[in-house]
Amino acid sequence: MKNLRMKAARAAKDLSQEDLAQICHVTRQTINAIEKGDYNPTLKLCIAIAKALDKTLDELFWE
Amino acid sequence: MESFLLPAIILAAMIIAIIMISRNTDSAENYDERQELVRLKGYRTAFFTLIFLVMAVIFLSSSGLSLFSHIPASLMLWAALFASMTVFDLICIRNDAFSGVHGRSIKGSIAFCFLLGIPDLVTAILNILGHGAMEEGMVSESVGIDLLFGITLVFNGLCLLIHLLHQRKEASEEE
Repeated sequence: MKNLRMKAARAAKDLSQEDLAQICHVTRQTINAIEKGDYNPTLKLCIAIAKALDKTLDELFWE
Repeated sequence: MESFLLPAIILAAMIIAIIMISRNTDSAENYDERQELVRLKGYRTAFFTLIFLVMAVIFLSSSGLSLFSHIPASLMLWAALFASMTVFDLICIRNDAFSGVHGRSIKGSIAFCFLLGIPDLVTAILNILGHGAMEEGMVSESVGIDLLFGITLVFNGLCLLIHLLHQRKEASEEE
């Protein structure tokens, strides 16, 4: 399932996938895979993404 | 003596690569968590591919089939090794787990593959055209390894090139 909330939050912060990837110390492809729903990130990465986007885990990842 | 030179160089290169990989214990710095998972899948698949192909080589070399009686078992083992390495490479390239987060550039890897692979392939083809591929009724091991090595590297280079183009397209679509 696509993670549109994460994509929207990233766009709201005016960050590209590459920018977010650099902040979270992952590759752009990993961010892309999370947004497309192809990859389930670990809690550690979820927290890093949530912090980078100034959102809570619930706002980004809870169904 | 010459037939042992290339396998010896490849073996030495592999040992150096294994030492360098095993020395780099903090691999989390190089690959992110998704890439680590992909590489794990790649290692597993390549391992079982190698096991299957080695069993196939043992079966074929002892089967007495006329086609395989002209190919030295060691050359078939090299082919199995190159094939399993290619399986690993393909899985990593397809899933963007080839170069790490701050790892080597794909362009550099493509250049490496082509610069090493094309001369090897050309040498092998020229050797086959000039002297033939057979030596004393068997496929020449040195020519065979040259050919396998060249094909593997050029194939990997092409896969990387296609992947690089696909990545660029994906990145421009994302923007």
